[in-house]
Amino acid sequence: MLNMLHGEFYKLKKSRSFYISILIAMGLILLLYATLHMVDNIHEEEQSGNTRIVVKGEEEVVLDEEGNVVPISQQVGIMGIVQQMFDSHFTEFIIAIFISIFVTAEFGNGAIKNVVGKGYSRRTVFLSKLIAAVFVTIIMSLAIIMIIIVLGIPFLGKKGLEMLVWKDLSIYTGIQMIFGISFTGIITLVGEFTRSLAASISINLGILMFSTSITAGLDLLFHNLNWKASQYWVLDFQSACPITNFDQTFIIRGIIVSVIWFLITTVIGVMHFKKADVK
Amino acid sequence: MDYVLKTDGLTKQYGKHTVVDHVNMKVKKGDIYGFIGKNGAGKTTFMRMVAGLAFPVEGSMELFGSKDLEKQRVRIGSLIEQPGIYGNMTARENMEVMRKSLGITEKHAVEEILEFVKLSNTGKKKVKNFSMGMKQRLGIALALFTNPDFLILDEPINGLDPAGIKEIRDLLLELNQEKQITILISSHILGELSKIATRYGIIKDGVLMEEFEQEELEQRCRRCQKLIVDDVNRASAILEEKCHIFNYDVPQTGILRVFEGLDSTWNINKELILGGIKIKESYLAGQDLEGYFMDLLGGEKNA
Repeated sequence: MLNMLHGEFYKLKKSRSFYISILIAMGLILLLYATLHMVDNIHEEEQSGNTRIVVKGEEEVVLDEEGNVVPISQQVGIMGIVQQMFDSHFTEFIIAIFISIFVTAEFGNGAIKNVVGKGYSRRTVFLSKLIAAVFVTIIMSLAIIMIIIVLGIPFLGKKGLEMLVWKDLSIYTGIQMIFGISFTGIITLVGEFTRSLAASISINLGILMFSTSITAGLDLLFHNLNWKASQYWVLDFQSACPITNFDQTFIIRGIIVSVIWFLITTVIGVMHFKKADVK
Repeated sequence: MDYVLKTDGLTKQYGKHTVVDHVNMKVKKGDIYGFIGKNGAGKTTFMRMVAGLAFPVEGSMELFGSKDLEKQRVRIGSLIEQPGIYGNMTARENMEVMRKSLGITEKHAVEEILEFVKLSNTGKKKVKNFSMGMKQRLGIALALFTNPDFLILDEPINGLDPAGIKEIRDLLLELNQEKQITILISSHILGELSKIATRYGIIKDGVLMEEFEQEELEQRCRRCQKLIVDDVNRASAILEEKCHIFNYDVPQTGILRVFEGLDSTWNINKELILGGIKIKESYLAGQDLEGYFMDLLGGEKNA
């Protein structure tokens, strides 16, 4: 198993798609900051009366202790951007695509037969791929948070860093990572079942885009029974996770649901791969 | 007899379709076993089962005399269908992935194998830019890690130009003769296969029709004068006494096959007639290996 992981990490180091994925994440984050910055500029011009843009409707203005208007970028802050990246599954999108390229493709393109044909047990092969995918999830999640913090400095200045609650950010990162790892189990399982890069990416992105809408629909459908599908789906936990004032019940329930999903997908994946023919 | 591979009734089905049907194959140590069959005959599926990439629905196999297949497969190297390589990496990087995955600590092993397959000078060229022959050689290089005793190669010369085919052929002969590696190889290019194989297996519709040695094949394909006569014994005596021909056989009653004096068959016919033998038919027989295989497989071109 360790040898297999050694090989996986070497591949990761050499993988161009890994660095491209990080760059895409960086671009998205930059876009988010730039949008906030633009909104702030519009507001500023609006207040000084130098704008031709007409903003309809009332907006709640937040004032600081000295009575100055707090820019929206500072209201959102680094923590807000982190939350935005995870809640809206941006991070999972990037991770799902990269894992599909890095791990799943091997089930379909024949590279996996090099090790299966060398007498490694099927269980070892599948688990090593899963562990590599989990490792990728952790690294990418951390890299994305780092990028958000680093890019936040030029946009939000020193104040942005001062507003950062490191303890909350660490807890939030840890919880989101647990949810992310759980979803990685699903991504890997989909890849093992489909054995096709295109199918794997499409299905995983489909799950990311529509599953929470489906669980919301199911919640409505079964509201009379007092049963909520969203309380059993890891992506709903990811979306609903608070970044401060953590609710213990939510966290414990989220962790239990994540662990169960991860175990189920791992067992199914191992069982299926044990009996599956390799291309 | 030392067998590297022995299968007993190996069968594979996809749904109701039987792809490999109770195949009993024996590959001896040191063999270059040419596995021949048309497209869809079951060659690749059979090889995949031997390599552990697919599971049989029935039957069993022994590798190196053992039933502990997982353990024995470390001694196998395989290149089945396309080589499993990473196009965005160089040959050396592909080999490194394999070296690390297999836990081989000797770093020089990569260089040695690349040198052996003549890919050591490819530098930073990405594998996706390799020619077909180079990719195949890299596939063989990957299969050669852990110094296998048994190499399974599925169509390794498919799509190669004549120079590429010769390179692979020389490489396989070197592996067999110098490193004593037993090879199971399938190919559509039967003429090429016959230049290296020492033993053959013919598969048709999933059934292993025949297994035979190279010598036997040569014998079967040997050029001869075929004579259908009324009295084989008397004809044999005339051949020996009058024509001084001793290299002949009697494969069936009433049939003589003469293997010498083929440039003066008129003389044989003359002596037999003068000796009172009734010749019903006399003709030159024998075919090239490709033709022979085609006949065995049912006469179509895509063996």
